[in-house]
Amino acid sequence: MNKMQTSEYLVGKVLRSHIAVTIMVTLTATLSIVINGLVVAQGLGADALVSFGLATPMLILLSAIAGVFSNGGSIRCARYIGVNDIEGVRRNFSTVFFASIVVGAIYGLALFFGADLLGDAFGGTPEIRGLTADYIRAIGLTAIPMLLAQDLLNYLRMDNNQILTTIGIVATVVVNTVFALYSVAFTDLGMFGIGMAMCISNIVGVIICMFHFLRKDRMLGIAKPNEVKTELVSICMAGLPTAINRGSQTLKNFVLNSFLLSIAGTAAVMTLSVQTNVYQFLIAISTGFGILVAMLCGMFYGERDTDAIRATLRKSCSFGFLLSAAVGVILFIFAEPIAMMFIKSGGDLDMATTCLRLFAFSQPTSTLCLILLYMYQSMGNLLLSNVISLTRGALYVILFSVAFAPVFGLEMVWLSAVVADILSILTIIVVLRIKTGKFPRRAEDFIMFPKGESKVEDIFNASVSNNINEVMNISRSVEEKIVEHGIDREKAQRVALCIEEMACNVVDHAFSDGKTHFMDIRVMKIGDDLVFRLRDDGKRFNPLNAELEGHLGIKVVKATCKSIDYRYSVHLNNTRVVI
Amino acid sequence: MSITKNANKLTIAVEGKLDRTSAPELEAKINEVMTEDINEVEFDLAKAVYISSAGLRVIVGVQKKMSKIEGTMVITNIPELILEIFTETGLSEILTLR
Repeated sequence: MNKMQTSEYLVGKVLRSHIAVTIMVTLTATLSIVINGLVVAQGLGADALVSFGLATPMLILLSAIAGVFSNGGSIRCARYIGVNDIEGVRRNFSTVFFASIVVGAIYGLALFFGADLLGDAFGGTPEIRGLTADYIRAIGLTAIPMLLAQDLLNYLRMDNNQILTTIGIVATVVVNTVFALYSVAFTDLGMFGIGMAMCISNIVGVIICMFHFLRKDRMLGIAKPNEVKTELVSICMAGLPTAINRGSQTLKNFVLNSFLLSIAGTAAVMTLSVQTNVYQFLIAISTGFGILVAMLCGMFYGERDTDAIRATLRKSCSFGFLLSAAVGVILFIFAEPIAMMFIKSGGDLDMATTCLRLFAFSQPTSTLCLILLYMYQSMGNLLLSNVISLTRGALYVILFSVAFAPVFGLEMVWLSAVVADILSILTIIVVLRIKTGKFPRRAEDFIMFPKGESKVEDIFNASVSNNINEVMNISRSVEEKIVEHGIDREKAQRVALCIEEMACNVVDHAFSDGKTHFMDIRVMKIGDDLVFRLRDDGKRFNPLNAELEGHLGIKVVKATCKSIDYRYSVHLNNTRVVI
Repeated sequence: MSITKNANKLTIAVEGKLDRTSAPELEAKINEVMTEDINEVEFDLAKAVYISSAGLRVIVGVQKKMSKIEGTMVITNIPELILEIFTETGLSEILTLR
C-alpha cells in the first residue's frame, strides 16, 4: 500500500466508523423540529401547518445565532484545548454562556412582544396570522434555553462527556415529543403549546447538562470573563460561515413563503413546509459528513498535510455522494407515503409528492456542497465557505424560483435546491479559477490554503503495515532522503533514530491485537524545524505514558528532539516530533 | 562492528548505527566471544552514528555482566548525539563514559 492509499485507508476507516454516530447525533438535534411538524400536521390541521412553515424562519434565525456561539465558540475553544490553556477554555466558555443569555433575552423579548406584527408581516388569512403569532411568541420564550442548550451540548462533547451529551439530546427530544402531543391532545394552546414544548424540553436539556459541572476532572467552568470583547469578536468571526449558512436559509424561507403565497396561495406554502420538514431530517446526512470532514481537515490542516486533506475530500465525496444518492432514490420512490404523513389526500398531496420527488435530486449535491463548505471553514477559508453558504442557501434558490416559476410552474421552486447546489459548485470553480489561475479538475484542486500561511516542505512520506522490517528499512533510508533536501546530516540522523523508536513502538504496542493496521509516516520542513509525524489506526497508545513505565525508546526520542506531542482523535494515534 | 579480544579484555568498536537491526547481531557476536575470563570491556564509539534503545539494551546487558563479576566496562570516544542520549536516558549515571 503506498502513501496516498494509506491516507485514504485511514480516512476511509474513520469515515466508516464515525459517520453513523455523527448522523444520529445530528439527526436527533433536528428531530424535535420534524416531530413538531408532524404533530402540527396531524393534530392541528392545515392552517397550523402553514403557520408552522411561515414562522420557521424565526426558528432558523435562532438556530443561526446558536450556531455562531456554539460552533464559533467551539472552534476557538479547540485551539485553547490544543495548547492546554485551561484559562482560555474557561474564558471562552464564559463568553459564550453570557453572550447567549444576553442575545437570547433580546431576541426572545423582540419575538414575544413583536409576535403580532411579525404574524401580520408573514401574511396569510387572519386565522393563519393568529396561529403564526402564537408560535412566534413561544419561540421568543424558547430563545434563552435553546441557545444555552446548544452551547452546553457542543461544549460537553469537547470536554469528553459523551454520555451526558447523549442523555441531554435524547431527553430534549423525548420531553419535546411528550409535551407537543400532550398540548395537542389535552389543551387548547394550539401553536403556542407546540412552541412551549420546545421551550420546556430545552430547559430540561440545560438542567441535565448542568450535572457536568459536578465533575472534578472537567475543563469547563465559569471564569470571570476577561478580554470578553476580543474573545466575542473572534468567536463571531469563527462562527460566521455557520451564521451565513443558516441566515441564508432564513432568508430563503422568508422570501419563498411570500413568493409562493403571492403566486400559488397557502397550498404551496404548506408544500414548502413539508419539504422543509423532510429537509431538516435528511440534512443530518449531509451535515454528518460535513462535521466529520471539518474534524479531519481541521486536524490535518494543523499539520499542513495536503495528502490527508486530499484523501479526506476524495473519500468523503465518493462515500457521501453514494449514500446521499441512495437516500435520494428512497425519497423519490416513497415520496407519496412520506407526504401523506403531513397531508392526508387531494391536490395538495399530489403537489407535496411532486415537490419531494424533485427535492430528492438535491440529496447528493447537498452533501457535496456541505463537505466543501465545512472543509473550507475548518481551514479558515471564510471566503469560499461563505460563498457556498450564501449561494446555495439563498441566492440561487431565490433567483431560480422567482425567474422560472412564473413561466414554467411551481416545479421550478421544488427543483431549485439541486440547481442551486450545482450552480454553487460552479461558482466555487470560477472563484478558484480566478484565485489560482486554473480550473480545478481533481479533488486536490479544490483545496486552497488561506494566503500568508507558512509553507511546508514535504521531505519524506511512507506507509508501513505491521512489520518491523519495513520500519527499519524506512529508518535506514530516510537519512539520505533528508540530506538530498539540503538538510544537515546530523538532523537527518536524529529523524532516522526517532522513526525507529516511535514506529517500532507502534508496531509493538498499538498493533499488538493481531489485526492488520497501517501507519502513515511523514517528515516535513517547517521554517528551521524538521517535523516527523506518525499517524496509525492501532489501539490507543500514548508513547509519552511509556516513559513513565521506564521505556528507553521514548527517553531516546526526548534526548533527540525539541518537542514531542501526542493526541488520540477520531480513533487515530497521532504523534508529532519536532527536531 | 568489530570485536577484538586481548587477554581478558574485549574492545568493541561500534560503527554506524547501533539500531534494532544491528543490535541483535552485535549481541550475538559479543556472546560468542564473551568467555568467563573476560573482566574488562571497552565500547569504542568513535565511528558510531547513533545508538537506539535496542543498542542501549545491549550495552546495559554487558554492563550488568561486568558488574556481576566485579569487572570493568568503559565507553570511549562518544559522539555528541550519543552523549546526549546517555545523559537524557540517565545511563550516564550507571555507565563509565570517557
